[in-house]
Amino acid sequence: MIKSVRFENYRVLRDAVLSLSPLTLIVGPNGSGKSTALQAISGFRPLLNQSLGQVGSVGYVPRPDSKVSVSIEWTTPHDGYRTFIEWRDAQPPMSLNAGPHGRELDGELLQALAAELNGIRLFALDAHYIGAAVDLRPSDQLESNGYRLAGVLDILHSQEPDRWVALNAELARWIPEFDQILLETPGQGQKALVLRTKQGRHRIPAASLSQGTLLALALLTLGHIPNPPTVLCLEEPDRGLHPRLLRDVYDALVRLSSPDSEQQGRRPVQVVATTHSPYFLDLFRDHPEDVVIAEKDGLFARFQRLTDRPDVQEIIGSAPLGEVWYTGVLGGVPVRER
Amino acid sequence: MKVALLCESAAEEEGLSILAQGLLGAPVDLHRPSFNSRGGWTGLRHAVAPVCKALHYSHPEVNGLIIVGDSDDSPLHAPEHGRPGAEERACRICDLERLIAEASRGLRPRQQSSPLRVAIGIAVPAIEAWWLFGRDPHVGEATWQQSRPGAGFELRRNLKKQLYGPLLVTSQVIHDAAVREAQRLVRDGKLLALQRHFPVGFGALADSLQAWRSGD
Repeated sequence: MIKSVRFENYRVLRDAVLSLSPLTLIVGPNGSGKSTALQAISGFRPLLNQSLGQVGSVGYVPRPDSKVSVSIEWTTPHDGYRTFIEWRDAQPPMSLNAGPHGRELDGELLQALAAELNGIRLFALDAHYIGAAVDLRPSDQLESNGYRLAGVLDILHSQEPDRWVALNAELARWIPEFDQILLETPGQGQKALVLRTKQGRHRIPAASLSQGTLLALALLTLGHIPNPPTVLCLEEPDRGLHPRLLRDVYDALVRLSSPDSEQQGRRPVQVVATTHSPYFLDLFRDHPEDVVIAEKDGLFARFQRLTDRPDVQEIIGSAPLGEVWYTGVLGGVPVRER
Repeated sequence: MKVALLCESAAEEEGLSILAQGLLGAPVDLHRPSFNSRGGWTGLRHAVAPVCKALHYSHPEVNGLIIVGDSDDSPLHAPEHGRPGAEERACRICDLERLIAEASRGLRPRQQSSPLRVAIGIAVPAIEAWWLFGRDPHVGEATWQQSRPGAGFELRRNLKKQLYGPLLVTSQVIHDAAVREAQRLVRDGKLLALQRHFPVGFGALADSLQAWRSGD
């Protein structure tokens, strides 16, 4: 699990630390580094292909003692270990691992950290791609925008009957007008998504489903795939959904990050999500330690865990957390110059 | 009896309806779809007026509305709050009564139906204390009054941990715990004892529902 990510001179994050819990929600205005952070975490390895000019902060001038870096600090079961990428002037970027108190990293540990990194996935779901028909592959993975959902569902249907049943049951709970996911074959070697209505057993093709329904189905599927990511980064999982459905989305994320809560007996998935929805933020009222405020400070941005702010419990009191955030008293809102 | 429920979390609704059935001694036909508040006390109090008015005008089939919130760190209700000069603005029972009175003022008569009855309950300090009654000998309004000022958040968290296990739980877990404990309280005949240990917050709810039962 990731304990924190430190950014130095990295794009909009000149000097920022993002503390993460098993389930973290980041709120903040546009351009406050939320997506930049998620992209850096999920695309850590590919960062090595980026030049100093591509990753350096605005106005960054390389000096002998300065650098651009992104550094992941791990926690259980790798407490105190760090994996980082550094860019220094006139040198190619370097990826390094470091142990606590100068401890050396053996091959097994390096492999474990590499597996953690390789398992990180970012999703910014897009209904247009979620509903697209796909050419079948022997193994399939949901792409970042939700493309290939039909292929992932086909594998789930044919190889994971228990998960398939659970997914359909949850779909019927979230969106009660549907009772079954169906997969049609529009052409040889292809699959397309169809939902069946509970009343009348009508078959509704993906192109006729609402965007919210498609987004909900992709989110639901993430909770049922057999090989989930180690860290799931989700851009605005509330997007396109009715506010009342957000409690179900929250529950799905809790189930992933704390499988013990429903005795699922599987490895937890660390979840990092962003939102602009006060309604989604309301659901974190009892867990302010899981909320991170992204704040713009001139050209740059920084993060602060909500509970690191003094007197935050007293400030929130009995009000919905989203409402308090909207007022601006917690920060993380657009600032307009008068 | 057709009853609508308004509480801080939709996951509590079924458990509360079981308690209401126990207090009414009759089956409760719950109004659907349920009313949801945005959560927390402020979310609940914002929903009171629109829900009262909607039931009054649009749902003549609904006989009563039950509103249940958490006390959190607010003061316990006392009879003297009703006396001029002794009002306690932070008292949540007084606050709900005020909101209901304001919402009911100036309404046109209800069509083809008797006036909407409203029952109020305040769980001290949080609904989990009611559900833990009979399992944890320390829960009760008296214990809460003796607690250290400012310790409210941690105490409420401990109640949640005790009831749910992990701190981060789904609404399914909250719902199941509420239903399980409400069934236990009713089945084991604990409602009177619950009323003795929570005389103000649960007492108010029990008194109102018993009045509904006797037709007052």
